[in-house]
Amino acid sequence: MSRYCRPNRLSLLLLATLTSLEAEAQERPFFVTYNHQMEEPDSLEIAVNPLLGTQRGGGAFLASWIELEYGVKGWWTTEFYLDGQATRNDSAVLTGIRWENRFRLERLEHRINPVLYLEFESLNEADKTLLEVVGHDVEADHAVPNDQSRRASKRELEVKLLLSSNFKGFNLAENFIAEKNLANTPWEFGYALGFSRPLALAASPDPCSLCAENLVLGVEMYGGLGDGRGLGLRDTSHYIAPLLAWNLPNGMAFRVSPTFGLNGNSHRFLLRFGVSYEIPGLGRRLRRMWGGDGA
Amino acid sequence: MSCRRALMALLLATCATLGLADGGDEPESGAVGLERAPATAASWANPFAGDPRAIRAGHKLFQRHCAECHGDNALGRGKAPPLISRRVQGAPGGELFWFLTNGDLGGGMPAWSRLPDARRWQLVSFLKTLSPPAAP
Repeated sequence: MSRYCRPNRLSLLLLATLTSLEAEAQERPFFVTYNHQMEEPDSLEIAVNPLLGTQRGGGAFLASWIELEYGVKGWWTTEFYLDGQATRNDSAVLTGIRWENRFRLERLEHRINPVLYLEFESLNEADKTLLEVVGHDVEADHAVPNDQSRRASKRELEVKLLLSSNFKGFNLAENFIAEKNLANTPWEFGYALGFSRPLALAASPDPCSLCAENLVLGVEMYGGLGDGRGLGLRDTSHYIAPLLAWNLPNGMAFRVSPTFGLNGNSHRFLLRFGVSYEIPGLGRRLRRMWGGDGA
Repeated sequence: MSCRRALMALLLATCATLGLADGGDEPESGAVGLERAPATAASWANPFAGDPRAIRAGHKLFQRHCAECHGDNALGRGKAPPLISRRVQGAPGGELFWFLTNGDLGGGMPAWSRLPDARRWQLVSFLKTLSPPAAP
């Protein structure tokens, strides 16, 4: 066997983890809103989230982000994003990266559970992932041709206060967003609200994939709140999005969310998809492999 | 800073973050954190008590969410304690439910509040069927 095709320890590890028969899969159902659910410690979730969008004054587009989410501790989750988009009759571009960290502020469950969210973004103006709407973000921002918009880069710090509650099987999450371009521009603000519930609260005794207990229905709403020079719901965009998530026992999860603009500044229609796979205990396995106790 | 340098910086930071995840503050085997449950938790009644279907459902949930750390047979693995221990088996169901709900976020046990109450009680039903080790 050539040395180029000899399996190494890393490929064997990946094969072993990807063929695990059972894995945790309890994906957050929302695309934009965050609740207080954290990634399990040592687990890695890999997700691809395409977004199909239409726009007045520009071609339809397919934006997407690749997401790597890792549970550092039970109270700390870190995520890395790579964003890109392709616009009809235009071009395909990478639009930047994001690094986010979420910290649970309370160790025990309460009626309302606060989480602090900190994110650094290095993006260009061609980004169309709409992972948040802040300030005076409007549909017309996305009509600029890629060869112009990709030249305008921005580095931003985003802070969110995430509040989340569970009651009678429902999850209600409220996010307050503040974003600051590290250049000399004012703070921009936004919001996101989400509401979800599994179709069945109790698990059935038998293994199943397409069954009510694995399906989650929800709705989320998000939009801008203006900026430091003027707060308000006007001159920005707002969206409402019903969603369906399907969590499979093997660690896969699928999400879909038709999204509707609520005012003339918003895209009329967006369609979001999400596919994710969770590798439980990856950090433990890596530590075990490279000489740690792996515990 | 160019995009490439920002990417490198983020990758380095990510590696450093992963390096921090050494499980160093995880509990020793046997210490499960149940002692933090409020006294009232002991009186919470399992709505699925004695229901064999709930036990089977709990077993399924255990394999899906818990076996990765605690082992397929709940014997414990690494620093995740065995769930057949007398401490766990002797605990009231309400205490186990409380602990599943809250976890031990500093010690490596996630909060399973993401699962509806019914599924956490089903897990408790299954856990209570595990046999404690024989007395020495």
